[in-house]
Amino acid sequence: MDSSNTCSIARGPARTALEFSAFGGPRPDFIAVSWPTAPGGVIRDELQRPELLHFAPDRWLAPGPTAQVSALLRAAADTGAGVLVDATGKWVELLIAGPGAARLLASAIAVEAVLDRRGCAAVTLFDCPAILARQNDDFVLWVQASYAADFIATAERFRAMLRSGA
Amino acid sequence: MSAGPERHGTRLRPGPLSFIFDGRRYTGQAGDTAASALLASGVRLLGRSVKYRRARGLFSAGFEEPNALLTVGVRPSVIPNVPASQLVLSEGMVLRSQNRWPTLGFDLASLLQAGGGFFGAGFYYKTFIWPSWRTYEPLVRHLAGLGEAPRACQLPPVAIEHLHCDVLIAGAGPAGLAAARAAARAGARVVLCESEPACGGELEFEPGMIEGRSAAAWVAMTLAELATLGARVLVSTTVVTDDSGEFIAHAEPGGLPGRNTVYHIRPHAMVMAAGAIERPIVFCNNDRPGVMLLGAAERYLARYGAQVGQEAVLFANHDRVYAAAQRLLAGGLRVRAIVDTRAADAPGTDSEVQRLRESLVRSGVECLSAHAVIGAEGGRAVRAARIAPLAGAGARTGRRISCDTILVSGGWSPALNAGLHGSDARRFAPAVGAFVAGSQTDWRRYAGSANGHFDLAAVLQDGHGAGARAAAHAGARGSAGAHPQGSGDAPPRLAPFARSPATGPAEKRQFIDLQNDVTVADLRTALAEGFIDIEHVKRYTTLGIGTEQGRSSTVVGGAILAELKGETLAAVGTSRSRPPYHPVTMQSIAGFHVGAAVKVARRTPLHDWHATHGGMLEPMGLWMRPRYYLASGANPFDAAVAEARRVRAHGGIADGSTLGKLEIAGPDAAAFLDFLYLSKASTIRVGRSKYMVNLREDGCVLDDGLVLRLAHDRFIATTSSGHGTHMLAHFEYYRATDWAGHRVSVTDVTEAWAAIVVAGPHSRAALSQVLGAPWQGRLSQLAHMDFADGQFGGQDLRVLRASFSGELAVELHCRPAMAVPLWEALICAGLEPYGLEALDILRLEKGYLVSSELNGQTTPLDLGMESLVRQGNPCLGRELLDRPAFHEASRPRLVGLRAADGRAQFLAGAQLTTEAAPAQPCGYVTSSAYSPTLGEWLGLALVARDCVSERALLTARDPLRGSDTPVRVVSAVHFDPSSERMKT
Repeated sequence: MDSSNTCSIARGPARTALEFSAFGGPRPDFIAVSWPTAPGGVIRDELQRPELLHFAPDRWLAPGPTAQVSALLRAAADTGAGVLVDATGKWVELLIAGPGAARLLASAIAVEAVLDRRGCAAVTLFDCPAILARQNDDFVLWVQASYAADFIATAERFRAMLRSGA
Repeated sequence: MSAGPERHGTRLRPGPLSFIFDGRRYTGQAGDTAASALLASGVRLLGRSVKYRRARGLFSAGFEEPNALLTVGVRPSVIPNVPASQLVLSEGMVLRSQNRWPTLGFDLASLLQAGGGFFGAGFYYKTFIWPSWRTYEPLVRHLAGLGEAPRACQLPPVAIEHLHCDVLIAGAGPAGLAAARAAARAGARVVLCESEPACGGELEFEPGMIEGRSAAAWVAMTLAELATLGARVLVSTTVVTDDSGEFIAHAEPGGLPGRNTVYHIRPHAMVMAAGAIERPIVFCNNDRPGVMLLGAAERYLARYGAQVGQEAVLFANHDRVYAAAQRLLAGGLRVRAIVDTRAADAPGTDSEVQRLRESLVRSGVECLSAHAVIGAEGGRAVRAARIAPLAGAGARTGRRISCDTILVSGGWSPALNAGLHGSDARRFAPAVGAFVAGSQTDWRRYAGSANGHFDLAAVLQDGHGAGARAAAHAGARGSAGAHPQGSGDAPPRLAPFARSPATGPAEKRQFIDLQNDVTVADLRTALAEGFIDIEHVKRYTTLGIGTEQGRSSTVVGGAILAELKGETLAAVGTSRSRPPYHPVTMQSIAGFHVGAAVKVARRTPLHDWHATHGGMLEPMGLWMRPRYYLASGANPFDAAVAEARRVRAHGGIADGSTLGKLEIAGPDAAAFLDFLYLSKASTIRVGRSKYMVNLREDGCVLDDGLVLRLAHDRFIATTSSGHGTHMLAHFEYYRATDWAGHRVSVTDVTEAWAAIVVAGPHSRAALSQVLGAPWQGRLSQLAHMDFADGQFGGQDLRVLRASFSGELAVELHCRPAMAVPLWEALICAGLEPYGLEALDILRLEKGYLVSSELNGQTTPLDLGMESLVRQGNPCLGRELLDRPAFHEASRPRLVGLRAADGRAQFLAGAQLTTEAAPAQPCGYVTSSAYSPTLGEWLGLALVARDCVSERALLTARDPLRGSDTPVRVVSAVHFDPSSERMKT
């Protein structure tokens, strides 16, 4: 067994999720300093957990938004700069933790390169659409719910293989 | 059988191990390959050729091995075509030779070689014609192919790793190591791939001094420095192909599939330093066991302490043969003669080589200049070499030197293949007698022998320079330092020589491609029959195909073709090899797409409930959906009929969560949807929904579904299950292009809403019971196509009154977490689930589109949607609906069908013909099902408009399933045409 390749895959709690879509064109006024302004930007809480992820151009995800983040998003929507959609149930949160987490994800994508200069990215992992971000030394990802079972099955297969030192 | 006393070699470890070859037990040593252990045990005959079944032995020491391919394992779990030269032995390994029956020593099919030209070039185009191919097929199939396909082989799953780096270097010989060190010193992140289990390349056995150390010490020191600098060194890993900058490297530790890793490497810059492959010289019977590449003998000796024979004749066209001879002599091989094709007074032969020659002569080695080996004698092993001067008396007959080994070296062909897959340029280098890298891009460079360098000092300098430039291109700004200084064997100074002289009949025994039994006579035949281009010759003669992909044969083949054509090799060229450069298992290509993961599957929130309650889940597109439930019947037909009957009589529930759901919002949302749909969304009132149809740009129907207006600026558009992802892309495309700058957004909320269809006459009562008092009044007020939002169990619930069954029905849209509780509550209220089969029956009875009617070729007019077209909404695709072609009489029209006798079965896919033109299809059946409500088979069909008339009699012809069924055209709506049931 290769301990450097061990990691765990844990399902996060089912939480409310909000998606904000800005209308294209000039950067709207709501983009204040507190918002991630470039795709890949992430706002984190004091424990470094992602609170608001700018996962694609003009698109943000707030998994389990705090009252503050919700208010921020609603205020932005009220200005007419974009649209807030309740996407609760769309995403399944997974935490991949441990020294082998990066190697496990490297089975699907060059994770170090993808997150080299950004905090999050919308990616396809094992054919499953997902949003990927770092969380301290680990990785957190939101997989589209209908794909989650297959994603976990494939990731578990690779996890077992890497653990055995293959 | 014992391998004798313990041997010493760079790759051997102490300790014996036993293995079985063709049923006989042998003893090898830890670290041995199958090839080295069998050599040490005195085994020469390792296989037979694929076409003539001629006896074959080891030819090389690398993965270019064309002859000694073994099958590993015991039937049915076997792995075929493993090169003995690469296969590292493990205790108890079971090996079997290939292409022989009944035994390797006595092969019946080897009698074919007595037929000589029977299997000459292009034989498969000319023979087996009379009386019929079928006569010969069983025998040919028995003989054909390399090895035996595994009938059952459970290899562990392949590991995959995606890597980014600054500089990827293929090959860890002197050039590759120098390049890696330079790049890493400059600050680049380096990945170094080496196909052998150890780094160093030729330095493993050629003596040399680099930076004041022995070559071996320099290799060790360089690897240690690379580790310090963070470079990643992947041994037993070959870069097998590239695709627009993504390189695939394949690791196969031990040379045996089973613990493979596939690396996807995306570097900023690449250095190809894959070395060169020694090429043979062709002579008569040059395929006999005992004829080997000179470098292979050196490798087996240095790595495994294994002698390739007792007495050898060396045959070459360059200076390096003398240094090699001395090393082999020192290793215990008796070198009888060195046959050099060059004249003794050839210019450029330096004093060091002269000194070596004299030393060898003093040791009893006969050194012949301007001579050639014109033939090998022996059957299952070489017994002698026939030597002749290249000019003058005796050139045809020669003389005989007894030996058991002929070691051949015709120079080296740079391994450019992996680069060639990317269409890199190459140029002919006369001094090398082969092709080297041509123009090079900034990001992909070649180094070492690929650039025509065979002198160690030049190789090191070239590698260092390539590594430094690659690092700079990748953005590394550090200093690569000075290039390593080194000295090794003298430059080869070869004089190109591809084949020895031979008479016409002897050309049939001059083998160019050992794996495919391609001879000089075959090339001559191909030319005579008009195949003059090297690529055509390759395909006609099979030169350079198979697992070996011409590594040792394409340059020689090109040179001989050039000789036969009277042209130069530069003009003739060589054929291109195909990726992968190194054979890889199909499993490695499949990656993680094996077993249950062969295709990703999407699951609804009710998936587990279906699975545990007898739902027969099947993939429909990417979605797993219940086709029927076992509780309803033992087979799909009985179950579906029972479920459909139950819905009509009482009610039922179905999982509709797979429906695509797109939330379109923003001030311009209504106008955006007006653009995308045939009818207007802007006229839908808030709280209402509408059946709508999307057109493609060309006017054909793309998809259909319901559009719900949630607010004046917010809609939900549902799509068919299989089209959800495509429709999202379609919407996003137009939002980002034609509608760029407008205030509208599209969000996929498919998974945010589970959907449960509740249908049947008792659906309202069941719903009232489940949803309770807060909903009772609202349910009764909901008109057809109305919806209402509220709560159930403290969570969002949307109740939409819409029906795709013709029954009173609603769709319950809830958050996924509530799907199972709601579903189970409905079951407790007396409703049972129905699957897709029943759903299709219900749709078909009502005349709703099932799925095949939206085939990408039908317009709304074909599908009977004139009322939607007449609304005149100027949407996407609307203009092209007016094309005259869409109004011709031959256009299809959706109609209903029933069997003329009211009983017969007809199935989807059957062609429809009229009595007047029984051989000319006028349409086909798109959907059919048995209707339990009507007690007969029903269908939908697309039929040419000029054949459509109510009660028209057609024949549904189904030759594949062997039926011709008279059918009658009827209305597409078979059941409840006034829709009273669903609007009640």
